[in-house]
Amino acid sequence: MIKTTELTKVFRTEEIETSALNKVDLHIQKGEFVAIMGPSGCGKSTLLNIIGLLDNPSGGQYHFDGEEVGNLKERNRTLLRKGNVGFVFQSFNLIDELNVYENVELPLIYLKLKARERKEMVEKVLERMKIAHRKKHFPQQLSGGQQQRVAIARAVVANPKLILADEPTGNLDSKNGLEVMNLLTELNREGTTIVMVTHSLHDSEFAHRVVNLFDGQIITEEVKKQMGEVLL
Amino acid sequence: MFRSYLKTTFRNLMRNKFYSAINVVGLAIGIMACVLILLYVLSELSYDKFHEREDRIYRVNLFAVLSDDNINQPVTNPPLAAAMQGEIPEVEEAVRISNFEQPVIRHNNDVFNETKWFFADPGFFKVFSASFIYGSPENALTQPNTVVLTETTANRYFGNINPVGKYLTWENDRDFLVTGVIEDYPENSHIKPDFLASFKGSALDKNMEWINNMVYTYFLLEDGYTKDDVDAKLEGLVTKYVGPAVKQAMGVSFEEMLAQGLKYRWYAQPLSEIHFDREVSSGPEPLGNRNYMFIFSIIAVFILLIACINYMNMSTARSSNRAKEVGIKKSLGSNRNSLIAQFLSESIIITFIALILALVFVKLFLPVFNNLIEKQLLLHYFDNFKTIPLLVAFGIAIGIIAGSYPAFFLASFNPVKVMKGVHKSEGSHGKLRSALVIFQLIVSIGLFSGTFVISKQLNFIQNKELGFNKENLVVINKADYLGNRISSFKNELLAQSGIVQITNTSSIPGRILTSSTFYHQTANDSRGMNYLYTDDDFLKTYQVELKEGRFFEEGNQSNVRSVVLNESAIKRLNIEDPIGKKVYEGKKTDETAFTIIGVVKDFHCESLHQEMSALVLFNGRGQNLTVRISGDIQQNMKTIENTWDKFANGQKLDYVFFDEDFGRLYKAEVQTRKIVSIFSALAILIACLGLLALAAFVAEQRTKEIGIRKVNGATISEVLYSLNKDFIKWVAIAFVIAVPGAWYLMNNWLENFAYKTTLSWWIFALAGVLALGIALLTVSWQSWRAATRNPVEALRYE
Repeated sequence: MIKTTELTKVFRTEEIETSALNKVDLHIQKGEFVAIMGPSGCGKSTLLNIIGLLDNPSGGQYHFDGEEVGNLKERNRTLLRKGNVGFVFQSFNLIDELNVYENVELPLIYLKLKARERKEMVEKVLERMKIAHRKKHFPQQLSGGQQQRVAIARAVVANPKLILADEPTGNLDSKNGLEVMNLLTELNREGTTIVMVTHSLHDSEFAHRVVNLFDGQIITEEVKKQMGEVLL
Repeated sequence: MFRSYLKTTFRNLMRNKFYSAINVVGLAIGIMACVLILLYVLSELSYDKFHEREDRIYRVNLFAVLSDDNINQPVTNPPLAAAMQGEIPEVEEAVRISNFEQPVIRHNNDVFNETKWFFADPGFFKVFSASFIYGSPENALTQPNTVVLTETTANRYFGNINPVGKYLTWENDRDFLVTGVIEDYPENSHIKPDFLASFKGSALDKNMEWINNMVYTYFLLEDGYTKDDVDAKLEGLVTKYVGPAVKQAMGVSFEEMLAQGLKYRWYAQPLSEIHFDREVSSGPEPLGNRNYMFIFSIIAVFILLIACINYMNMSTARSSNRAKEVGIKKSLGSNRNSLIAQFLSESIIITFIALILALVFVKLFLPVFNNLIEKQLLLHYFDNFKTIPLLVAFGIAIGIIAGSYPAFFLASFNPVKVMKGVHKSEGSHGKLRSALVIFQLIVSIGLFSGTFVISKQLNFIQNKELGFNKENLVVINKADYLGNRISSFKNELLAQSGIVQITNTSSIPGRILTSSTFYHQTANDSRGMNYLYTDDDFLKTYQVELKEGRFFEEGNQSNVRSVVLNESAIKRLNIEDPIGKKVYEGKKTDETAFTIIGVVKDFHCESLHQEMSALVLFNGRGQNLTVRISGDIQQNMKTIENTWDKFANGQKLDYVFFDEDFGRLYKAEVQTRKIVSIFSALAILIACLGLLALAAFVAEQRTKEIGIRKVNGATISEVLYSLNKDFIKWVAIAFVIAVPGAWYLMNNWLENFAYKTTLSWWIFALAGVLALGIALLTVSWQSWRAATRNPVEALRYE
C-alpha cells in the first residue's frame, strides 16, 4: 500500500539546509499496523506527513496504492487524501468553534456527501467511539480522552484505508491512552492500515512492526507479530 | 508614568510594524481630509467677517414680482445711494460699487485684460475695511479718475516701488492716477477687487435712472438702529422715486401696476448673509453653497471615522497579544483606571504621530486641493493663536474617540483567565467588529454611488443636445470696440480659410441674458422673457434650426421692427399661427410693436439647471462676435488675431472658446465631482487598509483551523471561501443598507437640475460590485497566503 524508495526531505532556510529524511525505503502493506519510533527531530513526523500526502518529498519516490504520488500538485494530493487518509494528532486538533458533531462531519463535507448520508455516518461513528451523548458539546467542554476519541472518530468517519497517528496518546493519561490504543487496534483488525508515530514503547507493542528512525534514516525494523495473527 | 506609556507605545508600534503603519497612515489620511475640509468650511463661514464694521454693513437688494417673474437681485440703481444718504438718517454712509466693466489696462508696455476693476464711491473705505500700504483712505477716491490698487496688482504693473502718483491707461481712453495701494482682500471676501477706481467721473456717476438697475448699493447702519428701520424708509423711496419713473416709462401709474400684482421692494441684507443666500442672485463673487459644505464635512468626518474604526478593530482584534501584559500588570497591583489611562495615552500618542504625518500631507496636498476648489486656502500655524491649541485638542479628541473602546476593553481582562491563556477575543467583540466594518463598507458604497451619479449627471448635461452646435466656436468679447468697422472686420475675416461663419450678438448662450416684459397683441398681461440682439448670421453660425417663417435677412428694412421667437416664447405668450402676429416690448404702444417673422426651434441659452428659457431675438448689434472655425485651432486663432489687430487700433483681442465658457455653468458640479471622487477614493483606501489588516489578523487567528480543514480534505478554494465568506456577507449587508440612503440623497441632489439623468439601478449595482471586488481583492491577498500555506506548518508546533 505504501512504498517509498530513497525518500528524501530537505528543509531550507536562508542559512541552513537540514536533511529531515535521508533515503528512506519503507514498505507498508495493506492492513499493517506500523509504529515509527525515534528521538525528537529524527524525521518521524516529516515521514508521516509525506506518507499522509500533506507534504511532498524533496527526492525519491513514493507509491501510494501503486501510484507514484511524490510529485503531485497540492490540489491532486488533496483529492487523493480525501476519504483515503485519516489523521490523529497528539494535540487532537479539533476546531474550537465547531461542536463534536460538526468536527466529525468535516471530512464528509469536503467529500461533498449529502446531509442525510453524513448524518448517518457521523452518528454511527460517534456511537462507536462512545461519544454520541456529547455530540452537541464543544471541544473545550470535553476531557482529553474524549477529545481524542472525537479526533479518531473524525479520522475514521469516511472509512479511510489509512490512518496516520502522530503520538496519539502523548497528551493523555495512561487509562485514556490505553483506550485510544485499543480503538486503533480494533480499527486495524477491521482492515485499516495504521501508521503511528510514537515515543512510547508501550504503545509500540500494539503494532505489527516497529520502524526505528534516527537522523532521517531507518536504522532497525523489528517485527512484533505477524499480520495474520492479528487478522485471525 | 507617561514616560513608561511612551516607551510601551513605541515598542508596541515597532513590534507590529504592519498594523502600526496601517493605523498611523489611515489616521493621518483621515486627519488630513478633515483639516482640508475644515479649512474650507472655516473660510466659507468667515466670509466678510474681517471688516471692522462688519455687523453694521448692509447691501440693498431688489425684490420684485413683474408679471409672472420673480426677481431677487443685488443690483440696484445709481441714484439710490445718494438718496439713502440724504433721506434716511439711520444710514451713516451709502456707497455704490460696480464691476461690470472688464477694461484693458496699460502701463508702458504692459497690457492686461482686467476682470476685477471696481468703481466705488469715495465713502467705500468708511464702510469697508482696507489696510493701506500707500496713500490714505480719506482722500484716495475723492477725485475723478483716481484708482487704488491692491498689492498684487501694484506689483504686476509697477514692481516693488510705490506707485502713488503714477498713471494707468484705461481702454486707450483715459488715464487713472494711482492714489493708494491696499493689501489684497482675503479669500473669504465677497468683494475682491484688483482695482478700486473712483465712481466720480464714471459713466454711471450722474445717471439718475430709477428703474435701471446696474450698481451694487451698500450702506453702513448708524449704531443703535436695526435694518428694519431702514427697510421701512426704503419703501418710502420706492413710492417717491420709482413710482414716477415707472409711470413715465410704461405709461401706467405705479398704483395701477401694484393693483395688478406688481411688487417692487428694496430691502437691506446683512453682510454676513450675503455669501450663502442663494435666494438672491450672485454678486461680484460666486456664492457659497451650504449643501456642498455640509456634504464635504460629512465625508471628511466619515473618512476620519473609518480611520478610527481601523484603530479600534486592530486594537481589539490584537488584544490577545496585549492580554498577558494586562494580566501581569493587574496581578502586580495596577488597577483598571490606570490601565485605561495607559491605553488611552497610547492611542493619543499614536494619534499625534498621525497628526504630524497628516500636517505633512496637508502641506503637500493643499495646493492640489486649492486648485480643485479654486480657492487660496492657507494653514497658518503661528499667525492665528488658536491654530496650534486647536490641532492639539483635535488630536486628543481623535485619540480618545479611537482609543476609548479598546482601552476599556483591554483593561477589563480578568488577570487569572488571561494568564491561564483561556482568554478569547471573539464573541460579542467580534460582532461589534463586524458592525464597524459594515459601517465602513456602507460609507464606501454610498460614496461610490454618489460619485457615479454625479458623473452620470455631468455626462448627461455635457452631452445633451442643446439645440445648437457648441463645438468649434470662438467668442470675441468687447467687439463693440470695432464700432462701424465691425462689418468690414467680419468680411475680411470671412474671406480667410478656416473661418466658416461669424455672428454679432449682444450676449452668448450661457451668459447672463437681459430680460424684459412682452405682450402678445391680444393679451393684456405681459410675460417676462429673455432677449438677445443678433445679426443675420446667428442661425448659421450657431447652427440653430428655423422652425417656420424666416430669419433676419441682410439689407431688409423691415428687420428693425421684426422679431424671431423660440418655441418656448411662442408657448409662453400663447400665440397661434405666430408668423405675422405682433408682440410688444415693455408696453403696448406703436413704438414698441414688433412683427414675428420667424420661429426657431428651442435651444438652451441657460444652464440645464433651468428649464428651457423663452427667448426673443431682435435684429441688432452687440459686444460679442462668435466665429465658427474649422480645422487647426492655432492657425485659426492666428488668423483671427491678425485680422483683429488690423482693425482694432491697438485694442487687445479678448476671446474665449465657447465650449469652455459654456462649461463654466457646471463648474460647481465639476468641482463637486472631483472633490467627492477624491475623498471617496481616500475613504475607500483607508477602509481597504483596515480590511487588509483585519484579513491578516483573521488569517493569523485561524491558522490552526485552516490547517485542520486542509488535513481533512479542504481544497484551497474551499479554504478561501471559508475565509472570505464573512467579508462577502459584510459587503452584502452594507450594500442593502447603503443603497436606499444613497438613492434618496442622490435623488435629492438631482432635483437641482431641470434636466436630469435617470438613477439607474446599475449605478448602485456597480457601486456594490466595485466594493465587493475591492474588498475581496484586499482580503484575498491575505486569505490566499493562509490557504496555500502547508497545513503541516500550522499544526507542527501545537
